[in-house]
Amino acid sequence: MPLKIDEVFKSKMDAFTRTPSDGIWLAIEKELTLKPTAPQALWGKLISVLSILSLAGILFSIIQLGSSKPKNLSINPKNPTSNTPRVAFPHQAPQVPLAKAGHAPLRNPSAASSIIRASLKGPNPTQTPTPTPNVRPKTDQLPRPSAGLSAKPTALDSAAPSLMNSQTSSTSQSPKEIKKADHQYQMGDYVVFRIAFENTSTKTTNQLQIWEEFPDWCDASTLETIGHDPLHHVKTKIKKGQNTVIWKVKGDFVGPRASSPNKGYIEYRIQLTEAIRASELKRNEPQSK
Amino acid sequence: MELREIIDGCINGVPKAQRELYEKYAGLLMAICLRYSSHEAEDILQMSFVKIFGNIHKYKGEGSFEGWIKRITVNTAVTNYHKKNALKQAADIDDFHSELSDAQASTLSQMRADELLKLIEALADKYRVTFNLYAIEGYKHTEIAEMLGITEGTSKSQVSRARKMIQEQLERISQQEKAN
Repeated sequence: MPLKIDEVFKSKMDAFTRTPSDGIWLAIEKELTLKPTAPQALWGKLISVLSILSLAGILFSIIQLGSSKPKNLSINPKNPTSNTPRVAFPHQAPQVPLAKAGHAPLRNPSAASSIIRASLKGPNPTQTPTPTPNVRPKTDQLPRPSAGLSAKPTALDSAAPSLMNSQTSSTSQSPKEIKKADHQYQMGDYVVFRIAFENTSTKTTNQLQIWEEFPDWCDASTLETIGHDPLHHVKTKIKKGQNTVIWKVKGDFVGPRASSPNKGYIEYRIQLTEAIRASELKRNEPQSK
Repeated sequence: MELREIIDGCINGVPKAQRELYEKYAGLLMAICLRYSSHEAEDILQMSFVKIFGNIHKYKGEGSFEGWIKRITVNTAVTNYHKKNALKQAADIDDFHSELSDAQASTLSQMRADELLKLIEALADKYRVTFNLYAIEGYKHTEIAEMLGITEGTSKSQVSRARKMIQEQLERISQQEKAN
């Protein structure tokens, strides 16, 4: 049963408002421009499907024209020297000669069908993702010293790949960017990675989610929801003896991944180097024990 | 612009409508975010608005719109709390039933909302979240238990402890007032 203290808090806090800082709206606006609204997305998909279909239709017609044999062409009996080809099927026949219309008949129909295949295949999976606009960074993406252990700042993504090796088990939808940190990792530090995920089939990024699959040495803060930000930070606290960091990313994958054996998630396995494991971690063990 | 027009505009992705919705509710939602985490309030607000705009087509006009967006904000704040805190079941349940003394009640009634907010901010995360959900948002202990992944008893215990801590702070303030 609510007590007096609850009632006072409720009545006063319900009416309380506080204006946020000016930058918030700009950050929201930027996120909104990255993510189309539901009706916009629906129309966008419909339009892209229709345009692919119409393109395929046009190309198919061109192939039909190109593969027509001479016996299907009619010769003007009044002027047999005229070599203007005409299509024999009236429902397909253009009203002007092809040469006059500026189109040479296709000599190699397979070339056109490869164009169709290319257009139906969708975006190139190896394509580099568009860089994310510089939205206001969230507080939880910023480095924080770990409590009680090493108070060194968090390693942020930037350089020095020599410290760590990374590998992924993903094939068609691998992370677009895994940058490594320029920091001597120590026990108690947070490893922070900036990873860009992109669903290459739908060109969306909001279906992915960092999925909890951590051994006990991982900090709970690694549980992050990707949300709408294609560039995302994940962090893991290194503990003594740790040599591997694993993140699994679960998503609503479509396209080639649907038939792959590890359907449903991509695994990122980051191997810490021997040197860090053996010397740095041990050397920085808390002295208070 | 009427609220229904604003909502329809947001469904269709009209920037002016989105801005208007933000202007209308940012202050209210910011106050909620501050109650859950003062130093991450703006992050929570930003995430909440992105969720609101992304899901506004799901609002069917049943019930109050303000209630709907408040709920989204509270849920976002709770999700944020989950991310930051490994929730542990508190084994001890000590229901603390104590009414305020006259001096404490008087101090409390004279305090402004921003001063009360400071009292809430001073609480540890788990007490702050459960107290907000129960005392201010009006959730039941069973609902809070489900939201936070704790037992009903733990929820009761945490609200009770939050009250006790607030009461101790009120006592200190009233003592200071007396001394002055």
